[in-house]
Amino acid sequence: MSVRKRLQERLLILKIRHGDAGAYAEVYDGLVDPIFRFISFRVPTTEIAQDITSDVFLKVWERINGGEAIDNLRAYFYQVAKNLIADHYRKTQAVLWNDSEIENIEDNSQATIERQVTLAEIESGVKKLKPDWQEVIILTYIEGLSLKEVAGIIGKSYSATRVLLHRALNQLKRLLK
Amino acid sequence: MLDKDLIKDISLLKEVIKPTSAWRDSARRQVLFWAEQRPLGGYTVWESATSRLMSWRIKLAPIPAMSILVMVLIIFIIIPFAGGLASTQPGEIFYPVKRFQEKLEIVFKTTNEAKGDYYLLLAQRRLDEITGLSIGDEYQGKLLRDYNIDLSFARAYYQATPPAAALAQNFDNKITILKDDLKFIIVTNDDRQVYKVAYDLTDKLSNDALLTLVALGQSTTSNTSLVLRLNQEIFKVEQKLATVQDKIDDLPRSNLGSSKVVIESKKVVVAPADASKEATKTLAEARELIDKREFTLALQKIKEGEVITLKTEEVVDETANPSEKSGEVKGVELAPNETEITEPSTTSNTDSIPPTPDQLEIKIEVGE
Repeated sequence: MSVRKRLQERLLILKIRHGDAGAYAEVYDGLVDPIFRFISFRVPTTEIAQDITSDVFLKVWERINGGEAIDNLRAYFYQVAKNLIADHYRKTQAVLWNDSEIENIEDNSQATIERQVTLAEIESGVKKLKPDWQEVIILTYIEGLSLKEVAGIIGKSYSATRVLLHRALNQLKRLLK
Repeated sequence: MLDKDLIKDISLLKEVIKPTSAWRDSARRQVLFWAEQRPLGGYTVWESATSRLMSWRIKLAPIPAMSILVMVLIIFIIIPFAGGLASTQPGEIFYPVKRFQEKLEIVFKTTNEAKGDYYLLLAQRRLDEITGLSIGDEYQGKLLRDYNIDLSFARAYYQATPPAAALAQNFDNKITILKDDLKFIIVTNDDRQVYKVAYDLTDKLSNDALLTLVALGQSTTSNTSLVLRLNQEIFKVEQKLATVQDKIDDLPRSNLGSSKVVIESKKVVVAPADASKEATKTLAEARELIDKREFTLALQKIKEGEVITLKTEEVVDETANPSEKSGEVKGVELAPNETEITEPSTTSNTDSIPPTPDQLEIKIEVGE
């Protein structure tokens, strides 16, 4: 993370700690889509993903206001999301999977339909990966984070993350064949 | 499937998998509703200082931290404690450092008020530097131009700040000192124009501050300081008038008949002696208005008295020195982004020399 981004994050955390709703709105706007996507791959339906996403933001707000020390806001959000996903499965004790729920498809050209099928398969393939592999694929290729940032979020070393990514990609290729 | 194609396709999922706008907005409202339940907490002194420092550091983010630290050390610790920088004069080795430090300090003035105040300080410094020069020094004109620029900026920032009694008082006090210091500057013929601009600009800023004080003072019950201030202005004009009266008394009787003063405010044309009496009467009226707490009208009367006094002096000077043509050099006010004014005249001393207020001890050297 650049110096500027790190400082901006620290300033935001300080403001949120003092109850600045505007600052939290800024965080929400920046992270709602990535967190939703992250959760979508791990839960069967959009509705569940929406519920858990809302819970993530509420929980993080409570914890920051409670004085919890946070070094990396983005990583913290992902960690809370992972915990809430685990809580969800503990409560439901079931794994229900639908096939892909790709949204915003409006173009009917042949090329687009072929592309959509491919994307549906890829999404399905990613969902079938182990959670660790899912995470590294989502954070690296979908959210566009650097390997260093991903390593910080998933709590592994840089080299371990690189190996994980390589294995995840190979497994996905095997699933898509 | 090539890795590259697969990675590209994976990245496209970002555009496809996202929450609907409707849900996003409703969840946002819900989250913020929760957030707003908590009242805004106050910052401790440490937190306040830290957040301010972080904000500044974010603004300066492209510059490496070490460079900023070095700059801060140089500007705020080494230079001030090196001693003697404040008294550095143009032409000396550390003078550019002093000017550079001044430019950097402006960056740290965050409000219009602070900036306006700082530019007034810089204007004062320029005047102090001018008084430290010998007459005819090559830097005098440049410093006067810099003074005009700083004062223009001060005026612009002052006008951009909402009117407040404390601000107007602060400006008024500082401008009064500037006006007094400016009167004792001796300029050469070459710098006469820029000096006139400086004088007019200082006068304008002084009027701005005084008008604000009067306007704000009119609405307050306790205005002893304003009464004192207006009486001070009357006293200055009376002093001037006394000088003009002496000049009238010194004029040969034969010259008195032909000289007339046009008093526009009263729509009359009178002899200088009568004009002097009118000015005295106007100032007395101003005093009465002050007693009645009619400050705005009192200020108008004071200004009227000043104008009559200055016009009378003009006429008396012309009468006393009939071989010199009278003329008026109009000052050109500098806009904040202007750095130059009209070139001073380089013709001989037989050209028109503008009449100057008596209290300005200006010695005009004859040009070639």
